[in-house]
Amino acid sequence: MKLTSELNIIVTGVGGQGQLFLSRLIAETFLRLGTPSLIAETHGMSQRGGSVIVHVRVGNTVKAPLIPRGEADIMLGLELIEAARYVDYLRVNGVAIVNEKLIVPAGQSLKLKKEEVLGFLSEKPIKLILVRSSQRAASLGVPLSANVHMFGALVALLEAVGVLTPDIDSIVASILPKRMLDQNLLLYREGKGDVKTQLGSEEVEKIKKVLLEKL
Amino acid sequence: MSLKRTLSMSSGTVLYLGNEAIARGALEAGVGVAAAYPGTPSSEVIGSLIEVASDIGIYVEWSTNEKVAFELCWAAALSGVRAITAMKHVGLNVAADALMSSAYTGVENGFIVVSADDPSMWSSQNEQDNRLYGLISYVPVFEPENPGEAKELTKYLFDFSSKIKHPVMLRTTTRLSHTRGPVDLGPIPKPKTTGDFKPGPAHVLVPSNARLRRVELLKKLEAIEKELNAFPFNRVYGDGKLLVIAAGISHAYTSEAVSRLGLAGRVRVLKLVSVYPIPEELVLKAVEGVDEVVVVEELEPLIELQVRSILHKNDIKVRVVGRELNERAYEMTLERAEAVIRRALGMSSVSKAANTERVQLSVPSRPPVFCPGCPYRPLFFELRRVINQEKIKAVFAGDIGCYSLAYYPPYRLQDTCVEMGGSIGLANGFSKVLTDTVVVSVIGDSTFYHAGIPALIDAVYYEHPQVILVLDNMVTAMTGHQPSPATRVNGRYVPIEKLVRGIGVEFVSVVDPYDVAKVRGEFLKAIEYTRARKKPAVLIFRRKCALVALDEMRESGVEIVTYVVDLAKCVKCGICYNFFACPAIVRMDDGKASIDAELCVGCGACAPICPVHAIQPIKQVDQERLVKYWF
Repeated sequence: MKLTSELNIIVTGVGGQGQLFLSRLIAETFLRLGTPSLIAETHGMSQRGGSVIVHVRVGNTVKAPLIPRGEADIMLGLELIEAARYVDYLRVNGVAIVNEKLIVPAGQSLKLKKEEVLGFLSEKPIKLILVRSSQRAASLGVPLSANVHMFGALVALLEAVGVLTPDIDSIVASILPKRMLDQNLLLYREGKGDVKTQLGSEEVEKIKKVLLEKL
Repeated sequence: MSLKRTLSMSSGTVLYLGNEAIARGALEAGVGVAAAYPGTPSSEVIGSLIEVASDIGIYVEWSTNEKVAFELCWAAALSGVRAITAMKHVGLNVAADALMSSAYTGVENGFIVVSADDPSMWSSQNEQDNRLYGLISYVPVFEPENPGEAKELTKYLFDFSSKIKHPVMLRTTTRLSHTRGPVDLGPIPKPKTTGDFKPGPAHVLVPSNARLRRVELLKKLEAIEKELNAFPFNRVYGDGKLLVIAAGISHAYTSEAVSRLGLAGRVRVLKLVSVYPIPEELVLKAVEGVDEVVVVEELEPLIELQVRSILHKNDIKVRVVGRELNERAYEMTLERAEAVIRRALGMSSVSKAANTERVQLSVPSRPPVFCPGCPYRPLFFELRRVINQEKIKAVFAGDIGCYSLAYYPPYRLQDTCVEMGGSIGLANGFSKVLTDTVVVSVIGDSTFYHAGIPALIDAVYYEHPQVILVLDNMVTAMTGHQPSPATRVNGRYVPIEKLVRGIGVEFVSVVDPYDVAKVRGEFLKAIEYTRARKKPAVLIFRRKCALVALDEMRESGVEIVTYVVDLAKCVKCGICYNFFACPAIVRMDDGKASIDAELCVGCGACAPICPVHAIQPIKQVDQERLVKYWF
């Protein structure tokens, strides 16, 4: 593993989508590889269907829990509106992996369309990778496991740029919950596959350059 | 990795939440008794201890309020058993009476009071720096910076507290309590769970004894301050003409900021863990040879004031900056720590390329909402409807809990939400001065037991006409489903209706909040009663928290049958998505309603509110069969 500095990941979504679990998967994986992390979690009132942002900071030099705005390397957006809300946490040319799921804030007549959010995100000076994690998870009968699909997507990205090596899969298998393990492993692999097919070698080089500027 | 899952480990590194780390530290120090009333961000300290209580053989409880929890632990520590209590910052206001006296009595064995403060008010009604309690209570205050240090510090503080025979405060903030990070584990000894109490004048604070204790206490604080000069968690590192002082989470940000500014090794840093009292000799040593001192501090300038006072007392003329550069509101961030140090050094700021420029999108806000299935949704929906339709002039004195969310549209049924128990208390006053208004108070079961009962006694005794809505979901829901005295444990609980009747309330009615017709009827009857009789009326809305009920259904393998909108029947009235406002019900482009099967929990509460009966289960479901899970 080539993580010599730090990796800052923002995980966003709507309370209840499993951002905390996704963040713990990331931190636990790196811990097994010998690199510590800090996760700043959102608890309490904001968990009730509200907007959620979790800061995951990986690396030996990390001391403080919060990522400064404009300094996240990667954003995992489990929901489109929340991804748009927090996209400013990403640094220029940072990577956003976003689940194509829009959850309308309850009790509000929303005029915002999915296409508008996607348009907004795609015009940002960032690398946007779209995944259909909710759809895939629902089709396997585990709708609450979209986060595992997203995790697979992240792992594929980190493998492509050389931060993680492919032997990570056995570690992942050991930290996924035992309940519905087969479906979750399948989702994890699908998430990986989705991102792999979306990243051309040229693009990988570009992302690598951006991420490794400091890694 | 929860505390429970790692209980058998006695070495190795695991990821713990700051609060779990404190709990682990307590176990490694041999804690025997723990108690708390839940409150974000403190809840996981006792929450993780209660999960392992029977494995370890210690006594842990969720108490009725923070004062009760504090006193229970205090008695244990007075009797030689190590004890820990934990509360959110405002919880300590409730337990403050006990805290003050605990410094006078001292303790026989280690007693830690965890105060979890909430800078930026992520889940609180105010921003309060509880380090200041150290000043008035004479209880020393300590602040770790990450979960790993929190565990070590907790363990150390138990020994420290027993050595000085004095309670200590371990102060955390949201960003420590709810940050997960690596913690090195140590062995858990067999705890001492029984003790003995030696009576003496120190425990009886009648004035003649208290006066003597007061003088002793002043001496004790001085001795503690001296002792803290050797406190191993404080340290000085780096060297230069600038001394940067920071404690707790602010030190975490400061140390990173120093590195990022390229100042590592070129400034001197005093990292403090003992934040009150600050040991004088340590500060004097740290300022030797520096030209300037900058304090990087979150919320109130407590460290700065102490440092200034130490320098002044010793006639040391070094410039100290803090208040002028630190923002006093909201939590510390890396940007803020950096800015303070930069400005202290007169360094210019570096503007970074931002991704914010090009396009703008107005992103709708997403305040937290009642969960799908929440019994409070049909309740507030119907209350709002009856108030509008009957043109009732009412003031709703709300309280602290999930039902605070009724403040938000479309319900807008919280005119006040101030502090625990503040609903019935304020309503007592409103009822005296707002004579043409229906005064309603809204309070949950847990909050009612916690702080609502004295105000209700006042309402009965002095005949304050108010309609009291006790929302009984049989649990402390907002903080993560800790039991309240309404939670049935082998059939044991404290029934609210008996309690209020016992106090003397004559109008008491228990209503299922899903039954909107009855909600309406009983609410109107209660208003009529308070108008006619000039006395308080109590309506108890009882149904389990949906998250609890659904968990129990899932565990029992009950099939969840979701609901669907019959589009042929839907008349686009919007009542369901605009006014009932369940997250699972969405408006389609043509104005008709649709139910998101991913979010629907099959509670069926929306079905009766549809005027054309267009909302139906996707298949036959026997709701009667499910009733037992909800009560």
